[in-house]
Amino acid sequence: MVLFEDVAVRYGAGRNILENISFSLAPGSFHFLVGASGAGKSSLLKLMYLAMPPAVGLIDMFGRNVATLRRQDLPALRRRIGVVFQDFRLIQHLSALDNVALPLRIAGHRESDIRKHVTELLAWVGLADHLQDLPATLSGGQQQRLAIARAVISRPSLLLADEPTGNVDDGIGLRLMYLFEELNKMGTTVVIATHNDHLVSRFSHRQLRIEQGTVRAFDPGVAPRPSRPQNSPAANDVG
Amino acid sequence: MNWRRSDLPLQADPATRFLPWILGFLVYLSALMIGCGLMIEQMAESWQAGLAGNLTVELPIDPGIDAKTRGDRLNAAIDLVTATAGVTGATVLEQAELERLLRPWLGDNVDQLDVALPTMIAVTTDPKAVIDLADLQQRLAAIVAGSRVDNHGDWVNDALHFLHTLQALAAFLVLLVLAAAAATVIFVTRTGLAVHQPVIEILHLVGAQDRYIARQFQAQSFRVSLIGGIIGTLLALGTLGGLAFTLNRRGIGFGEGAHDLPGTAVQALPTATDRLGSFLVHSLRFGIELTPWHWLAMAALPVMIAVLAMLTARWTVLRSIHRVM
Repeated sequence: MVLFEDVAVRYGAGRNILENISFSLAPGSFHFLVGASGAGKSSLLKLMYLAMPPAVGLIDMFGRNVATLRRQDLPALRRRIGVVFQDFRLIQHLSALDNVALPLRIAGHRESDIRKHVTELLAWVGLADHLQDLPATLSGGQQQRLAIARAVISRPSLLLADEPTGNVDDGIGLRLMYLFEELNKMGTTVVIATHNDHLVSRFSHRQLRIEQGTVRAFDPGVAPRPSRPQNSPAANDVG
Repeated sequence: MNWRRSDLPLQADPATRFLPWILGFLVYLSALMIGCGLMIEQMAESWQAGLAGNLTVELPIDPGIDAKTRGDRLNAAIDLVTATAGVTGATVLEQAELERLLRPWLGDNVDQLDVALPTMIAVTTDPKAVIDLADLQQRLAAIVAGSRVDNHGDWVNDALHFLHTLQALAAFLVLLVLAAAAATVIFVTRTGLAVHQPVIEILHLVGAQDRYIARQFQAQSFRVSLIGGIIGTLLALGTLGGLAFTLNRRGIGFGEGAHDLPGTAVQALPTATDRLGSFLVHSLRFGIELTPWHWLAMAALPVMIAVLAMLTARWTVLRSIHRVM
């Protein structure tokens, strides 16, 4: 599904903020991306949702080498990826319903099907009474649920979530995690970036831990392994 | 895609709000120039048709001969002209009529001026007949020395050349206006791309193609341009209608009789420049009539400008969007 080999992340002409990143994600796997604040979790997610190219290295998404993709090839891959942004990135002048419907409209689905599915999903995340409300009129927690709904509405192959439970209470947070697990059971590969240790320990899934500018993988319940040569993807296979 | 729905709030942009007025003004100018071009075309056709089948014979006055001889020579000249194949009529302009035609140039006291006005004969011919003017003039000169026959061809050619130059200028100005309209759309579209960059980025990240984004700018440009184009065209038709009405009221009738021939009076003026200028100033009656094709062309103008704006917006987005995202 996803393969990173010797990837480095750099903004502009500055130093690498992450380097020697090598790991792979098998289809249907579930991962927590953990690390201290500012470690580079969001930057790693940016590489995964194709918002920026790597400074060096190979990224293979759904069997396609990202470096060889033409501009017109990117949208098709992005439609297979659902993203929950840390800052939500809702379109402020569109209603809750239109925000969630956006991926389906871009993909060309029929309007009648769109309304039905979007209404059901918004009801599931507790926003049934806010279909026509603008994002600015919703609370932080409601906006977060709206952003999650938009990310999952098209049943993506890969779901990336950046701190998805950061603005909700524990009850809603647990509910959202169950939603992610349901999607995972249906085959979606899930990566959740979080610094919520309680969540990580409660849902024992594999971890991608960002430490000292690189990424290391850990199975649940296993102590962190000593660092090994970082050039081998096998060292960090988490499939 | 539903063309009425837009994920980008383009209609709220200040630049977009001004676009229909700017394009409406440009369409107004274009429609005026196209309308004037059509009027000039009809004017040229009217002049050519009006002067077809008309000649002017000028018989200079010889002060050394008596009135009877002068009268005999005039009658002989008229007989010669009317006997010529293709001539359908000949009328001598009375002195009073001649003075009336010359009054705009020589003043109200033209009848008191010590100027020997030539005798002018207005000749009507079959427009399809081919008359040898040189031969006719030669035979007339044998009767009255110095007589001339004129079909006003030189003046008409000068006037038509002037009109065609105006038409070319109008066409060039229309092209300039269309180029200005395209440049305006390019500017507004690029501004929109920059202003809405955050939303465009979200659309891309959710899987939108560049052409999905372009379609939204296209639809918006088409809508506002059509509105502006309709307003501009209607205002231009109103202006042209008022202009035609005013000119028709001021125009001098042509073809109602030899006495109305301005060319006849113009012949008496000293220089060719004066003749051309007078011919234009006291021009023929403007029988402006827009044919169904003309109306169709004017009605198509707003649609054409809307299509131009739509295609320009699409081209601009597809060329520029890679800088945004």
